Amino acid sequence: MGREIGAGRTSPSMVRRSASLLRRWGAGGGKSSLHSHLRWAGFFFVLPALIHLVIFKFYPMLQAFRLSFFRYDLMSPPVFTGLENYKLLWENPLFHQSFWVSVKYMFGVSIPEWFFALGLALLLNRRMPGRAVIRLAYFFPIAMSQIVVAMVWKFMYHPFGLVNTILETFGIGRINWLSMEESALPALIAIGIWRGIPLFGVIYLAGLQAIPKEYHEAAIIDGAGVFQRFFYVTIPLLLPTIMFVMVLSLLSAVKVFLNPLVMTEGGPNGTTRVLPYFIYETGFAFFRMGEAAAASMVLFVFLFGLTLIQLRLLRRGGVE
Amino acid sequence: MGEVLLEDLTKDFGEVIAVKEVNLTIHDGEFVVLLGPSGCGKTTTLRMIAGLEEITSGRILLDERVLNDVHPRDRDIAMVFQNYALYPHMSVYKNMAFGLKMRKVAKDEIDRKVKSAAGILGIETLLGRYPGKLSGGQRQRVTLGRAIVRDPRVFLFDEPLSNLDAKLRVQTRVELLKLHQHLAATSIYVTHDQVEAMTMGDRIVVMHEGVIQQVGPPMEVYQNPANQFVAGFIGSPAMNFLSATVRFEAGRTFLEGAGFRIPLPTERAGGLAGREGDEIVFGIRPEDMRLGAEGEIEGAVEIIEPVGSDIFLDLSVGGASLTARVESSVRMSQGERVRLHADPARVHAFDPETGVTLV
Ligand SMILES: Nc1ncnc2c1ncn2[C@@H]1O[C@H](COP(=O)(O)OP(=O)(O)O)[C@@H](O)[C@H]1O
Ligand SMILES: [Mg+2]
Repeated sequence: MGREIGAGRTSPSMVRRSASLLRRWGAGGGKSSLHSHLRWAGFFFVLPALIHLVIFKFYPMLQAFRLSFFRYDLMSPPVFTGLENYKLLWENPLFHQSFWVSVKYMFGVSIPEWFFALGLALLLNRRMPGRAVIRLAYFFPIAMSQIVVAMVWKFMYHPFGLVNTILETFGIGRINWLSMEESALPALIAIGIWRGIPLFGVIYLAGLQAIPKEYHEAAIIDGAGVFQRFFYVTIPLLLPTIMFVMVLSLLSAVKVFLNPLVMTEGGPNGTTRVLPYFIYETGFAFFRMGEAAAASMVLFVFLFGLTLIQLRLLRRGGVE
Repeated sequence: MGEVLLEDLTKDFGEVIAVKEVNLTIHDGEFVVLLGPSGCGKTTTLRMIAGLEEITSGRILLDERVLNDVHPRDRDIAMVFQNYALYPHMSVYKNMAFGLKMRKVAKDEIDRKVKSAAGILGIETLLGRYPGKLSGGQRQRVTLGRAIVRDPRVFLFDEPLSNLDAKLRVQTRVELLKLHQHLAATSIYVTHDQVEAMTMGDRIVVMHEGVIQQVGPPMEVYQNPANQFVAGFIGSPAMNFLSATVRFEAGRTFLEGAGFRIPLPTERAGGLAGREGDEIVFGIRPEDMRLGAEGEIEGAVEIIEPVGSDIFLDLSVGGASLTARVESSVRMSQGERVRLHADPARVHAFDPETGVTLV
């Protein structure tokens, strides 16, 4: 086995240094001891979350980063190969294909989600009979276990499944949705959208309800019609929520893994092999852990960049 | 023009009847104040006039046109909201211009109107700012600005000063009145603050539980309250109420109770005819009594509150408490027994069951 990194590296001097830093930070000049107590209390409250984050997120990420410079097949010890893994990825047409499948899936799922979820929220925000029931019904897909969802949809997409049966009544012939290159990714995208709309709809709904009704009333008296109120009042005041939904939907779409695994195994012909599935396949089917780690680094950088852009937009959207 | 007519105006929210058969004529250019405790239906009345609340029954007319089914935008009425309701994502200029923009007014005319309104209100320098960056008083002006650019026939104000601190409130009150004199537009102003109502209104409409109690000029409402509710609601400190019995003796009428016996001038006693021996509520304002050895009210001083210009005395009169306003030069000590003389022209009496004014 390769030697452990990180865990064994914390020297006593580092501990001492950070401890004294913490002490200075916590004391806050010493004049207000209550204040510093409170600050310490706050620190201890976030500590469990922090520890969790470090052990289960940052540490594996660092390990993956390190691993991306090694050749490692889980059997023999890792061998340092520098940037070789990244070069292999770059030369691997499957990786390129996978990257673009992910991009297509991400936007294919997210963009419709933004609009449908907003439409749903606008509907649910109106006073109408049975609103509570409808809200519950729409929340249902989120409450269902992911693996169950994947299985159920696999049956529904089957040549003799529900989807085809319904289409047949409209005179459309049976399609083997998940086995055809043109239809497999759209079929997965449709599930993604279906699953995302309620969640984002509920977030939008919360945002809509946080808009004080006086703004709408003032606008009504000011002479704004329904559409003008939507564009001049609702949208601007909902902007922070919209940005939030955009970030969240893109990030959650790009992480999709279970559906391709259960329903298509990345096929047919790699047309549903999203990046997470590529990483999984490379690592655990072909035992090329280094290359898989490198691919996850690429994914990470991509997501990180995306998040940064959106955070900037979010901040701009939040300006009052 | 801007004459508003409310005819049997009623609003119920299921169980709650918020406004009940309100009849009121508001003349062109008049400043009318709807006054009453929280929950008495003031806001609901105003919102019906604005068109934000559906009318259960009755009619609203503006210059003889029935407004019931007219869209708020077409009513030619502007409203100033309690919480300002300035669009947070628009600059002051855009906030003020919005109503004109929605009405497709030409850009240069919008500009002219916004700048002129800003001039009247002294907020020219704020036009580029956002509501979030303004003080309460500044927001208040912008809200007014948004209303006046439209040059409406009627202004509606829903407790516009309630979010300001006391000093700013007094100042803004004066400015609002000046603005009203300048614009000479019909204004309907809602408040629960009787001082605001007294100082601002051409007429006051006192409401209680959705029903109009009295309509009249401030001093009239103050001096001749229609019932015990109005008498108690207007004036600070509030009018004293003591239970009393009606006595007729040697052709004169007296209000008699523990610690007092008040003779009524014959010309004021008509409302008590035939009520010999009846229980009534005797009412007297703190400022309508003065100290004097011959006084008809006798009590013991419990609390002495000097407020600078005057002193408020809390007395125990036959076990009930009574507040009197006396000159600040008066020297008094706690527990001292004093006699007060009630101004016979300012004595009130109410029916204990209905609250209706008898004297
Ligand atoms: N949307 C509503 N639904 C139900 N009851 C309401 C609603 N708005 C007001 N009310 C009730 O109507 C009464 C009058 O309210 P309101 O006009 O706001 O009083 P005010 O402005 O005088 O304080 C209150 O009892 C209030 O609870
Ligand atoms: Mg109110």
